[in-house]
Amino acid sequence: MHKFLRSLASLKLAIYLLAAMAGLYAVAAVYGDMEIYSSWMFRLLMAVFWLNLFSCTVLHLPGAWRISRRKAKADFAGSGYENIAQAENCSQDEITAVLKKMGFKMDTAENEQGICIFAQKGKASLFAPHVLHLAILIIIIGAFLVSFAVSGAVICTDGQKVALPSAVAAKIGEGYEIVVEKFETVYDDQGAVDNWVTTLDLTKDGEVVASGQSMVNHPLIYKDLTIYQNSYKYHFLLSLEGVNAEADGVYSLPEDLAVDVSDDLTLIAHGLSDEEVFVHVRYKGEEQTYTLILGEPFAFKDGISMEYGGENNYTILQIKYAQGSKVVFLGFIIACLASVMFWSSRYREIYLRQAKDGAWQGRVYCKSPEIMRKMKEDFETNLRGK
Amino acid sequence: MSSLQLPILWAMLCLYVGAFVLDVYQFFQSNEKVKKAAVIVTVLAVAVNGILVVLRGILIQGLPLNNGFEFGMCFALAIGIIYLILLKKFALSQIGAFIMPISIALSCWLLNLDMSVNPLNPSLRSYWLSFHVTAAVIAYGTFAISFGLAIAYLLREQGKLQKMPEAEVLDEVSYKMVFVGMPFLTIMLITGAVWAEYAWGTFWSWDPKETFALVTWLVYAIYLHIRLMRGWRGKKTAILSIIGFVAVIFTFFGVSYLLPGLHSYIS
Repeated sequence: MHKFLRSLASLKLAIYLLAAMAGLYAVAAVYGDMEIYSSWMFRLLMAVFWLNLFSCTVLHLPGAWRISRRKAKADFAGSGYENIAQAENCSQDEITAVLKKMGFKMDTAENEQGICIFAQKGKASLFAPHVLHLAILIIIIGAFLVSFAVSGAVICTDGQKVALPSAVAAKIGEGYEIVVEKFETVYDDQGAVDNWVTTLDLTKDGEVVASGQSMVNHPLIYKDLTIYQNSYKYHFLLSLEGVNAEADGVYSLPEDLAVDVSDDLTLIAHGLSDEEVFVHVRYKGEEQTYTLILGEPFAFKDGISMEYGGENNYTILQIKYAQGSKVVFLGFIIACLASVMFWSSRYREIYLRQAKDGAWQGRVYCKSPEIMRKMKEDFETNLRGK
Repeated sequence: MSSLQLPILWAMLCLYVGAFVLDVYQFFQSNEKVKKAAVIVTVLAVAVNGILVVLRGILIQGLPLNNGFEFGMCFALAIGIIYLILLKKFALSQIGAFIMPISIALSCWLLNLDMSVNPLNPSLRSYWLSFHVTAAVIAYGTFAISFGLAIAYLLREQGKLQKMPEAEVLDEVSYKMVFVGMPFLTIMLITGAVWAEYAWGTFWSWDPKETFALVTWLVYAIYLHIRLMRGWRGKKTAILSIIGFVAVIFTFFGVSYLLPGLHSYIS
């Protein structure tokens, strides 16, 4: 089992997988082939990558944990120690003070032969790659769960009540409805569009279970359900009288789209302000634009009258039901933590020993020879200046 | 104040060109005076670059990280600042000859962009944008330096440009740049995904720009694995650093112009 795990955790395999993924994604992006991401090849690649990461973490994390828990051992037989000239007249307290100043955490062991000090620094960097691997494992699991997400759009005007899209209702259960209180466009100080905001209630069997606003970048979240502000359409209510019995009535005119009211009457509306609308009228081959004011009837021609009844805007909400989102977020938080851990100093150790009536001896360890050399120099410099 | 942008940009370009000329001149006439002059001109170029960033920030009343122009000038500033830090920390004179061309190319590109201040699309009015783009600026800045050092390493290793620092130093600092930049690239991808989830309802949509950002991340992940675990150094890792930066450039320029998608607003 251990052998199998080792082969699955191999670095060679990891590098081949990373290269294969980079190549596959680059080709898919250049050719705009989105189907590749739902192909068996992609899924197989991700599955093998997950197993590779998982095996690597299972195999190496305990080792990092053991190193981080290392304690001082009264070892006077071990080789690799050198005499530290600068520590000749130093007491144990003075040496530990220097190590403490250098940011090391220490442990001491003593027996009849003498005293040993073991100092460590940069433990976080020992765990950083494993924590990042763990984060990627969690993100892949989350992404797998999110791939089962369902979504759909609903279109509503102010005050309207609509059921959730059928695919979403099938997952979350029946009885849920969205009640749109108001849709509005919010402008900033310069008059540019700041956001589109829908104020709504989510109800279940008539009871409000969540209420609030959904806007771009700030969706409304209720359990595994997320409601996004997806799109909108401006509509304007216009009542017509005197055209004919069939055409008379109230119209909801979409902005800038021509609506044929009768054979010889076409209307195009364009919003001007909260209380005014431009109406471009094509009537019997003639064209003219008028400004209609909210609530004020306008006598057109041939006994036809119009009255602007206010905005009747539609909001388009995207409703998503996804169970893995929280898992992905957890993975992201751990990945950010790992990124910070990478910036902590490299792991390093100092072993010191002093046999009874003998001189201080020591050895330093770090994977980077450059850091090891510098650490030795720093330690000696600090001892000199103690 | 908006009209000040163009002259400042020209001044920045001229200073970067001046720094480059002085850096190249050091290969022929290496003395302390030329070296000092190169550093002073570089500091001035970076300072003017900083003034441009501050001015733009005042004009838009926020962090200038919202479009291609703003990203480009911050990218150039990041390269300049990181380069100056390296100059102070390591004995890396003449390296500017390999770094400054990137800043010059960026400045030339900026000259061709629209500098007017336009209102932001509501989907870009998010604090995630600041985290996402700041992380990108730092990551790409470090990768640009690593790329310059990798080119310098390859030339030095071939026995050319003997006046440059030791090949081992170039290799080590190039690696360090990748090591510093990689966590920022990870944060850039994560903040981008979180933002996409809030704005568009999906963490990942395989948009060409995000896909190539992931490809870049994978290339640098290979770099770090083979360097740290396999102990590969020198020529092989230098080539990987160059490939990584080509991926960065393609993500930033290539995708914006050739493969437009959700990020196409940046161009």
